[in-house]
This record gives sequence, C-alpha cells and structure tokens, in this order.
Amino acid sequence: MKDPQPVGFERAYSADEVRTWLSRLGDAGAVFLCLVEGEVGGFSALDFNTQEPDIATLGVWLLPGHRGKGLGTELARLALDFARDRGYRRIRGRLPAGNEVALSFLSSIGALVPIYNPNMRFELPL
Amino acid sequence: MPDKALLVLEDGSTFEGEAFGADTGAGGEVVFSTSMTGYQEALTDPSFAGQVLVMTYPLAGNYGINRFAVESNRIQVSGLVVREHCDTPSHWQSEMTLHEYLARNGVPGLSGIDTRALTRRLRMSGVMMGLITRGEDLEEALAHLRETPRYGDIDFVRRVSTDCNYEWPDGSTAAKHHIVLVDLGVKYNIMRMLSRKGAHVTAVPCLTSAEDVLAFRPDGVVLSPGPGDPVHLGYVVETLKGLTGRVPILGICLGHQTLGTAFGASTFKLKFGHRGANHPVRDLATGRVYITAQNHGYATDPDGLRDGMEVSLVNLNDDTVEGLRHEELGIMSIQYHSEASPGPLDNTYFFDRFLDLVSERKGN
Repeated sequence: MKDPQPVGFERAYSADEVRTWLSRLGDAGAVFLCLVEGEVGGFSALDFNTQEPDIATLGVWLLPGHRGKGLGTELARLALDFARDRGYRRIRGRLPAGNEVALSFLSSIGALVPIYNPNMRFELPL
Repeated sequence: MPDKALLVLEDGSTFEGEAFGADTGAGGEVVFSTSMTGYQEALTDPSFAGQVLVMTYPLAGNYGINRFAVESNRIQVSGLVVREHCDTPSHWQSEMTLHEYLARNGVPGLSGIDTRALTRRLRMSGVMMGLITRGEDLEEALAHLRETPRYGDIDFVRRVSTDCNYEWPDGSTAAKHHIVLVDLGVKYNIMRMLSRKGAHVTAVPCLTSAEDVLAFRPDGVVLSPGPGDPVHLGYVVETLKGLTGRVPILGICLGHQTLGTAFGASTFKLKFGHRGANHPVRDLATGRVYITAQNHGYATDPDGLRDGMEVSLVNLNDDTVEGLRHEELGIMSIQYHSEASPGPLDNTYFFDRFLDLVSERKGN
C-alpha cells in the first residue's frame, strides 16, 4: 500500500545520531541490517524500555523495492531470536495512525493486533 | 507475467497488484466480506451491485466456478480484490476458473493485494469509493474517481430488479402457498428455499404497486434483499403501506429496512457494514443467539418506530437492529440472510416461521 502521507521516520537522522542510538542500545538491544547486492535494503531494530525491563520494542524498515519478498520476516525473526536470548518476555508497540500495512505484517509474524485498534497497538508474546 | 493494476481509494492510498479477470477498470464502493468460502455466490449477489468486493479470506478460486452456485443471472460486483487467486481449481463440478468467469462477464479482478491492510484501512476509515485501474497514474485515477457517481447517490434496486413477473419454480401449481416476492435484488436461494418448503413464488418488479401485488391473491408477500441506500425506495415504502394488514409480510435485509421505514423508522449508513458469515444475532423473545450471514451497509434506527412495530432481534457486535415484528399485522423481518448462500444454514427456520404464519392466517 502506498499512502498519500507515508508514515515512518519523521526525518533523516545524521550519522552521529545513529551512533548515539546504537551506543545507547548497548547489549540490551540490537540492529540487523539487510544487504541487497551490497546496498542496505532495510533493517530491524530491537529497543528496550527502562520502565518495563521484560518488554522490548520491535521495528522493521524496508525500502519499497524490497518489500513482499520475505526480507522483513527474516529481519523480524533475527530481532525476535535476539529478544528471546536476551530474556525479554514480550514485544509491545504502537504505530503511527494509518500504517495498516505494518499491522498486517506484524499479524503475519504472530503479533496480537486488536480488531478495533484506533491506537494502532500491537503485542507479541515471546 | 501478469499485468500490474492499481486499487486507488478516495483517500489517496493505493494498492498495487496483478490484474486478472476482464481487461478493464471499474469503480465502486470498496467493501470487505469476511466469508471464508462462497466467492461465486457473493459475486452474483445483487446486494453487491456497485461495489468493489474485497475478500478477507486469502485464497479465492480454488474450487473453481460451477453452474449451480449462482444467486442471480450475472456477476453483480464492479470488481473483485483478493490476496491470491487460484488458476488451477479442484472440484468435480468446476467448469471454469475464477479468472475466466470474471473475464467472460467483463469484471476486473485484482490479486496479490495485502487484503488485511486494506481491510484495516476500511475498518478504521470506513468504506469509501475506489477504482481498479490499469495504465492510469494516481492523479489520473483520482480524477477519474471524482467523476465516478457516488454509491449512495444511485438507486441500484431499479438496475437489478426483474423487468417482468416470473414464476419459481416455473410452471408449478401444486404448491401449498402462493408467495409474491417483490424483487429488490433477490438472491435465487430465497426462492429455492421457499419453493423447497412448499411455496410457489411469483417474483415481481420493484415498482409493482400494492394493488398489482394483491391482484395475484397471494398468501404472503416477501420483500427481498437488495443493494444501495434505502432512502431511494419511497416507491417500495408506498407499496408496503398498501399491503400492510392485508397479507402476511416478510422483509429480508433491504426489505427489512423498507419495512422499518414504512413504520416510521429511519436508516443510517454503517461505517464499514456487516458482510460475512458469522455475525451473532440475539432473538429478544427467547434469548437465543444465531450465527448469521449478512451483507448490508445500512441499518435501521429504531427510534421512530410506531404503530406497534417492535424490534425482535439485535446484533451482538454493535447492537444494531436485526429484526422487526408486528404480531397483529402479521409482519416479520430480518436484517440478515436466512437463505445464507454463502453462510451458515442455521437460520432457514425463519422461512418456516413465515410460512407457519401464512398457514395460520389462511386458517389451515
């Protein structure tokens, strides 16, 4: 689905900001890159939440040309395997309004997505 | 390599998939059905006229197309959207593929769509106009869509109703009851079931007057389901007023809504409608819950109901009215589809209940 106002990152992040984020993750989180013919096609990230130590946040991003080929599922699998190894009990998250494609993807990897879901929430027990 | 095609919604979102069926585009109100089977019955259901149908079940076409599972004489949907369509059906009665069926009827299909995302969009934003298109870019498609008449502005009943009276079954005279069916977009299975239960049915056009209906000396009258906004059906409401109290009446779906209107109720559009085969409905008299087949985008607001008409059934998902009854006048109605097709057969009892009423009023 292409949306007239696509959801995703609000802006491009600088290399320094990305380094800061990765540094903050430490060994409590992880980022997995997908390389397609030497170029980054997408990535998944597992982030932590200091308020709820047994819960992590999952994000998967793919460039449009690489969607629908199973790459997102594989990126998610790597992040979820890491989360299980790290001892997290569940993934919880919330998406920007209008990102039904992401909710559909999350459903396909086993996330619980409420049918009536105005807040675009999802949860994935590990 | 299949051609690419787009589904463009009026909110500007687009879904790219592979074209199948007829090599053409089509516009209409985009709606979803949660029925897991019965794509052929759904395609031929006149209540889908003017709509692009999205099947939430991820596979369509796997048991092919046969000559029996038709609910009218042609495909009624404007277009079909599926996650995956099967071109190698397996069923002993199958005579052609879904692709061939759509192509022969001039109806476009779109496959390879994330129907779960599309359904969530329709659920959150409500049903909206959309266009299946090939070769147009987004701006062209949106301009095309703006020129497409809006679903709610059209009286589809006049388009799908029969032009002339006909009998079901043809030539039968041995039936126990004679039922006149006002065709607002009837599904054949209503007539199949009435016939199976001992009724001879005469179907008449939607514009038939009460006097002309009564001229058949019917034992009962059925108002059929049909497509579109019931607000256009003042002529059917007038017919109903002329029939009230003179013959037992059963209203189904759109027929139910027109009955409510005849007794003072108004109707309103549901955000995304009820279309599927597992909608729970409670009978207020018994407390029993039935799992029903449904296909409607409008519902009856009971606030204005008068003259003894009562709500008899409610939907357990959203508390909307699912049935009306007037014991003294011998009127009953259901918003859901007792004829199923597709859907559970749990509710065929309603035809028995109506024919029992007909027998009672006839004094036998």
